Amino acid sequence: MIELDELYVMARRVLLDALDALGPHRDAIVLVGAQAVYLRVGEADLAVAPFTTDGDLAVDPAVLAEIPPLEKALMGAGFYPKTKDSVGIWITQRPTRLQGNTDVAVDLLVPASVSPGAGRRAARLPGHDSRAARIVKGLEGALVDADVMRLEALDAADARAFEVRVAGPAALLAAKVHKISERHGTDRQSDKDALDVLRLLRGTETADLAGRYAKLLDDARSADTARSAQALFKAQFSARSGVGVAMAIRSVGLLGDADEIAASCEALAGDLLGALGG
Amino acid sequence: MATLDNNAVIQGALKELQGRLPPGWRVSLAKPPSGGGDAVAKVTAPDRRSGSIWLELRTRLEPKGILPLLEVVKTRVRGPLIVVARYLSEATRAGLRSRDLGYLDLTGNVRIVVPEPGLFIETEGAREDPDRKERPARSLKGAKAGRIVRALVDRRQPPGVRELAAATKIDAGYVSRVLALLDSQALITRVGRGRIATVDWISLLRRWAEEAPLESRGQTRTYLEPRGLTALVARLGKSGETYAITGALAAAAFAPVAPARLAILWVRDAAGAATRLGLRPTEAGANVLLLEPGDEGVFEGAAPRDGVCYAAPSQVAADLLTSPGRGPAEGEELIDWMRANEDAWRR
Repeated sequence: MIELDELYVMARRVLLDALDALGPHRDAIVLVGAQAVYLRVGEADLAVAPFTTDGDLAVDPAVLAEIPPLEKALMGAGFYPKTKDSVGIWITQRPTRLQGNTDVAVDLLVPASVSPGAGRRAARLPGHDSRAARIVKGLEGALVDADVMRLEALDAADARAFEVRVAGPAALLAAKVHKISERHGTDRQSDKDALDVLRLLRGTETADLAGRYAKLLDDARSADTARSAQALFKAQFSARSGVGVAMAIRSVGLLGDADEIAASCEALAGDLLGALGG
Repeated sequence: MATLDNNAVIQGALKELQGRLPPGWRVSLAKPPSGGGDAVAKVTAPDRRSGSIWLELRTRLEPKGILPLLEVVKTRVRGPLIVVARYLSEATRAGLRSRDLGYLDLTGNVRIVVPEPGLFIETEGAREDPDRKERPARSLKGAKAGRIVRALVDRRQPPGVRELAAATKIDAGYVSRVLALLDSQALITRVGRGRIATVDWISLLRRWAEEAPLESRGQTRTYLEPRGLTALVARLGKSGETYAITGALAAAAFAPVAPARLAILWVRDAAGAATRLGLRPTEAGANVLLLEPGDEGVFEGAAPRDGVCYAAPSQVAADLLTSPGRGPAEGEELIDWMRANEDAWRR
């Protein structure tokens, strides 16, 4: 990348701040969301802002220790809950050159099937504030398909780097199609999620993606999610009429060709589904 | 009817004839008898005997024109007839000889038989029409013209006709005709009718693109690379394919133009290359055009850069000028770069 947007540099810095603050808990953390997509496959020729400033971190309750409490660690590093009712959203304020102070968020997310809390939102991790992390459907794959990657600052003056687990393309794909399905038709729907799916498809060889996906289908923690994600993926991306295709087209807007985006989704979705046996 | 030009030919013919007559013979122009021939020459022997030769003027005479000519002249000419032209080809002269007709061209091909007072002349002049190379080619449409244009644009020192012919593997006669066209259009300047002094390469590229647009120079097939163009370029770098990238993707390798949305590649066999590169045939949403060239000249000057092969900038510019979408604008941007960086691409 030639010139990084100031916000990207800041987003990475805040993510490193959070990982730094989480200290011993880092082993229980998997980077997910758009920043993970970017680390895995880059922009994949889709010249639309690859990520927002938010950082998404999945927490594996089976690995997470009870001390120190997550909230204490994060608040000690300048993060605070977004609102008094918010769950798993940790905000910090940073100055920008042109726009004054801006909020940057780090979300702590627990895959639904492994969450100790059975409620709708709060993960209720033992030893931690009940609102420290929130339950998210479809994220289970991150516990199965992930690799340790070195996460460095984008700013030359910042020498920090952490070895952190980053969700693999199959886990990210499954999470994205669940998110698209869950938010479709609501005001929380984001077209960019579909573009991330296309980026994952473009940037990962079909054999690699299918191999990783097969592991999701094979692991008790992620099998249900992966199966439903496969059906959702087929409906959303394997035909031009799918909502995922339409979202990807809207997301690219004038920066791309609608027919090319649609044809690419159909072709690559067909390849993956074919490799998975339907 | 003798026009001014015809008069010049007749005068030239008389002069030619006089030069070939045996010592003591003279030739002069006689008044043509009513209804017969374009002119009549009177030859006088040293003993003052004289005879008439009917001159039949032709701008050009091909072998197939001989019979119709005979039809015309046989009724009105009484006596020896010679066909007069600036130049008569060997085939035409043979045809005339076989019908006992005389001829005279201004390059010195002469055959005259006058029974009374007994004159026979047969000499050989030029084997090729000396004016032929001055007849300009009609356009830059064809593959051969394209090669000549590319060679002229790509060279810092204007080449000579022979050098051009050798470099492009095109016969010197045709090279001369294309140069005559370019000269007449002020796309090149020459010293007299010979050596090229300057080449206006920008106008030449534009004219070539206009007369031989991209779609006329090859067969186009459209494909989809669903993983995008960066993935395609990476695969090309590892392939053993013969290809040359052109269009915006190539322009971006030289000049600062916007990222390409469409890859255009010259390849010898589109269907085979598509299979080997994992491209999928598509009607809608194509991001790759594979072009099978009508002529191998598109690969001339193609060179690798960062592991992939790009067509020469002059080829890329001409291709872009008639490409779809933003192509023409990108072609102009590339030409701007070429103008500012001649040393980087002219040989």
